Parts: sequence; structure tokens; C-alpha cells
Amino acid sequence: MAVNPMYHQTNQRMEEELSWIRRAQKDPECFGPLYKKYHEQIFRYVYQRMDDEETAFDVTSQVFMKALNNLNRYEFRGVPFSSWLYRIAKSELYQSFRDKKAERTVNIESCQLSEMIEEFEEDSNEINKKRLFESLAKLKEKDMQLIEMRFFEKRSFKEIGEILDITENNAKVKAFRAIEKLKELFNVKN
Amino acid sequence: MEIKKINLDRKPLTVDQIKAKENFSEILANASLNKPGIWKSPWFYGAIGLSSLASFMLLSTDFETKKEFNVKTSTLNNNLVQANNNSYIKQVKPYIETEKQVPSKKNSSNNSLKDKIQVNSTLAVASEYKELEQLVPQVKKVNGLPSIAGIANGAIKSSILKDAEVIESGFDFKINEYKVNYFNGYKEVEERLEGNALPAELREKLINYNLGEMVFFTELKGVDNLGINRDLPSMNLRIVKN
Repeated sequence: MAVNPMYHQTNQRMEEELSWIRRAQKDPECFGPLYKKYHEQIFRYVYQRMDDEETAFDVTSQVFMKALNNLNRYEFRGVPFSSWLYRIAKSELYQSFRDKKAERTVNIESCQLSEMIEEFEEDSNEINKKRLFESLAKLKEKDMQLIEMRFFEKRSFKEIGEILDITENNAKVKAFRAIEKLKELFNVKN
Repeated sequence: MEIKKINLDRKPLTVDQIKAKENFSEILANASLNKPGIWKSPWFYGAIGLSSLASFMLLSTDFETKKEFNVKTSTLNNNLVQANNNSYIKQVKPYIETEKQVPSKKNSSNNSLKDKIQVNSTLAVASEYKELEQLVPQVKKVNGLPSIAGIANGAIKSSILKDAEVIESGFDFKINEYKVNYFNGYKEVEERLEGNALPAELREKLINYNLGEMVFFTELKGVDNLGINRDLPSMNLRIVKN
């Protein structure tokens, strides 16, 4: 499983990031380096979950605006700054779904479907891809977000836990249950 | 939340496409416009808190002042009762009326030290007496306080007193005990009576021997409709001719 190098940082990088945050708390213009560092990551997270590109850019802007406005409340808890940004992004995403500005969408690549089918120990043929595609459409959103983060975005359980504000072990358990549900849905068609 | 759509193999955006959409200056400008309202500021709550505290203290001080006033009035009452018992009133009255005629230091140089002390203490009582007279209006008809025919303090006509059979109380209090200080023709007496009745004999003595004098109804005790015993305010009445 690939590891997101932007997320897993050395202590030195985290300290550097913390110094940027401290400066930005005093002067919002110093937020620039953090924005540059995380804009792409947050945009991809948002865009992965919606269909419209422009709306995704708008939501991303909203995320950073909220982060800037609430930066004085930020407390360093030994995790990367991005986990805080992801939580804001998640909240903004759900707000945009509630406001009907966007629809909850899942974006998958064919190669990711093949990987999942192999994980189910089935043949990665077109029929199975279609079956898996249909099974994914039936999943509940809370299960889908775990599968999305684990299999499509290749996030570690530690990162998933920090984004969802749960422990690493809990993230593992929840992801395992989600994959079991997907397997069940996949086998019902079989 | 329901998943509305699943896209397969959507064309991914390149890094440059995403970078082209970076708009930090715009975010910075909008973020500064999004300042929280004044009601979210700690200064706002600070100001509200301080003003509330000040109002509370002001009200407390007002209450304390009223309490102090009541204590002062009560002390003066006691002093006057004591003065009355010692027949000071009779000594005081001429001084009140002719305070300006009190001998000056030059004229009193021949007086003995004892006389000086007597004059000074009499003057002190006279001053308190005058203060009490200022505090207590001449006629005060009140609803609620203990009263005789609606008169709680000040002058009461002898004809009104003659017809008054009870001490009234406007609230739901029943007066069950009181003390009265008066001159019975021979000496100053203190009488404690039960109930709220003003016996005819008492009224007669008050009218016959206390015209122009202060009569003090003190230690009035009552019981309210819940059965709770209450101490009620005193009455200081000057009996006057019709």
C-alpha cells in the first residue's frame, strides 16, 4: 500500500510547519506557505467526492478561509496540520451537500477496481468490474468514505483515523467492516 | 447521506491546473472581511459583565443604605424612648424651641463641669430628636404599615385616637403584641399589650396626659397568613388637639 509522503512528515518538518502556524496566528499573511503546501491536497480530497470542478475549487477556498479565520483556535496535537484542514474540508463538503450546491460523487479508476477484485480473490474481468461498480453504488456513505480513503486515495489507517477523529485501531476496524459489507454486496450478485 | 453518482475513469486534473486556481490573496482579503461580530468578542462580554456587576453593586449599596436608614431610625427611636423614660423630653423641648438661647461659652464660663455635661448631653438628644422629626413626616397615611386609623407616624388628632379601637395592619398581618410608652399622669410608663386592641382606658390616658407629646408604639409583632411571625415597624405618634 502506497504511503502519502505529504502526510507522514519528519519531526523537523512538523516543527517547521508549527513555526509557520505560529507566525500566521500573529499575521494572516504568513499563512501563504501553508496554503501553498496544502492547497492541492485539500482540493484533490474535495474533488474526489464531488462531480463539479468549479464547485470543488470554491469549497477548497472556503476551507482555507475557515482555517484562516479560526487559526487562533488551532492547537498542535502532534499530528500534521493537514489533519485539521481535512476535518474542515469534510465539514465544508457535507455543508455543500446539504445546501445542494453539490452531489456526493465517488470517482474511481478502472485499475482501482481491479485491485479490489483481486483483494476479493476473484478474476478481474469486465463482468466482475461491473458487479463491483454496482456493489459500490449500494454502499452507505459512511462505509464508502472508508473504502474511498483506504483503497482509492491510499491513505494509511493512522491518517484515516486523524481525518475522521478516531483512533488508528478504530479506523482499521471500521475499514475492515466496510470491506466486509462490500464483499457481501459483491457476493449477493454472484 | 446518499451517494448520487459514481464516475469511472474521470480525467484527472494536472498539478498545473490546480496551481493555476490558487488564490491566496483573495482568501486573505475575504478572511479579513469575515471578522466575527462584536458579540463574539471577549471585550463585548467583558463590558456586559462589568456593567452587570456595577448594577448589582449599585443595587446592593442602595439596599444597604435603606437598611442603614432603618437602623438609624430605630436607634433614634430607642434613644428617644430612653430619653422619654428619663423625663428628658421635658428637658429637651425647651432646648429645641430655644436652641439659639443656649448659653454661649462666654456666658457659661461660670457653670460647673457637671452643668456643662448636662447641657451637652441634652443638646445631643435634642439634635437627635430634631433629626427624627425631619425623618418622620408630620402626617403619614399609609397602606400596609401598622397604623391607627391609617396614621402610622406623625400627628394624630385626639378625636381620631378616641374612636380608634385597634392598631390596623393593611397587609395580611394580624398584630398580636405591641409595647407602648406614654405618660400616665404620674410617670412615664412602658406597657406591653397582647392583641391589636387599643383599650379605652389606654386611649383615655393617652389623650388626657400626652397631648402634644410623642407616644411610641414599639416591638409590634404580627403573624402573617402563612403563620410566620413578623416584626413590624414601630409607630411614633404625636397626639394633637382637634
